[in-house]
Amino acid sequence: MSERNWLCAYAITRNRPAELDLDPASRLVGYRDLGVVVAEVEPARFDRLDGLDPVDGTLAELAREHDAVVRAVFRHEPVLPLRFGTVLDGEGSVRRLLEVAYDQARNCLDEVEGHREWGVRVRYTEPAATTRPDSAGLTGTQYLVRRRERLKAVQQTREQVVRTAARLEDVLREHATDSMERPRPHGVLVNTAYLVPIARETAFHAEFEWFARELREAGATVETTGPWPPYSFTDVELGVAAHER
Amino acid sequence: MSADAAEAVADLLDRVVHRGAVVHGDVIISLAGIDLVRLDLRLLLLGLEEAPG
Repeated sequence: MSERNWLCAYAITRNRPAELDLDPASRLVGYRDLGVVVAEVEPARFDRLDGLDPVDGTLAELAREHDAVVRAVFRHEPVLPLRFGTVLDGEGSVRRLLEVAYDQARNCLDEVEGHREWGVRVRYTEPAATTRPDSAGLTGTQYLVRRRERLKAVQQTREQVVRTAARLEDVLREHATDSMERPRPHGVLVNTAYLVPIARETAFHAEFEWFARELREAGATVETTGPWPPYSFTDVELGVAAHER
Repeated sequence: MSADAAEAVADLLDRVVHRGAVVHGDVIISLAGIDLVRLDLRLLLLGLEEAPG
C-alpha cells in the first residue's frame, strides 16, 4: 500500500465505453451494465479550496471542471451526477459501490434518461412606491387621491405578476416529469428547476415564452438557464453499508 | 465580476456542490475542507441571491 490510487468520481452512466467521448484523463469503470466516470485525482488540489471566496476562486474552477466532465458524458448517455468531491479509494471501491448500490443507481438513471434540466427564474421588484405625484396645481384632497391611485396601481401590477408567475409554474409543470423549487430570496417569485423530457422541450419553451412576454410587460425579469444535466433530480444517497461502522 | 456572472457561478455551484447523488460508506475518502466549503457556500449563495441585480 505504498501509493494510494485516489479516483474522483463524476457520474454514474451506462457501461458503454464506446459511446462516450471522454477526454484522456477520464475513464469508465464498469460493473454489469453500469459504469462510473472517474479520473485520477491529486488530493492536494482540494486542499486549496477557499471557502471564503468560492465564487472567484479554486472552488469555482474545480466545479467547472466537474461540470465539464459530467456534460461530456451527458452529451451521449444518461447521467446520474455524483456530488462534487466524491473521491473513492481505487477501482475496487468503485466496483463495490456499483455492486452495492446497483438497483438504486439503475432506477435513478432510468428515471432521468431522456430528460434535461431547465431552470426558470422570475424576479420582480416593485417600482418605488415613494414616487410622489406632482402636487403643482392640486388641492390637498386631489393630491391624496392621486397618490392613492398610484399606490393601488403598483399593488395591482404586483398581484398580476404573482398570478401570472403562478400560472407559468403550473403550466411548465405539466410539461415536466418533475420539478424542484430552489431557494427564493427577496424579490425572486419563482426559482424552479424542471426535469423536462427532451421530446417536450419545444412545448416547454413555447409556454415559457408566452408567459414571459406578459411578465416582462408588467416589469418582471424572466429567464431560463440550461440545459443542465439532471443535477437537481438525483438527490439520492448511495450507501456502501457492508463495511460501515 | 458582474451580478450576472456571479449568478451564473452560483447556479453552477449550487448544482455541482449541493446536488447530485451522495456516496456513503468506507469506499469514500473524505477530503478535508469539502464539508466546510459546502457550509460556507450555502451562506454565500444566500447572500449572493439577495444582492441587487
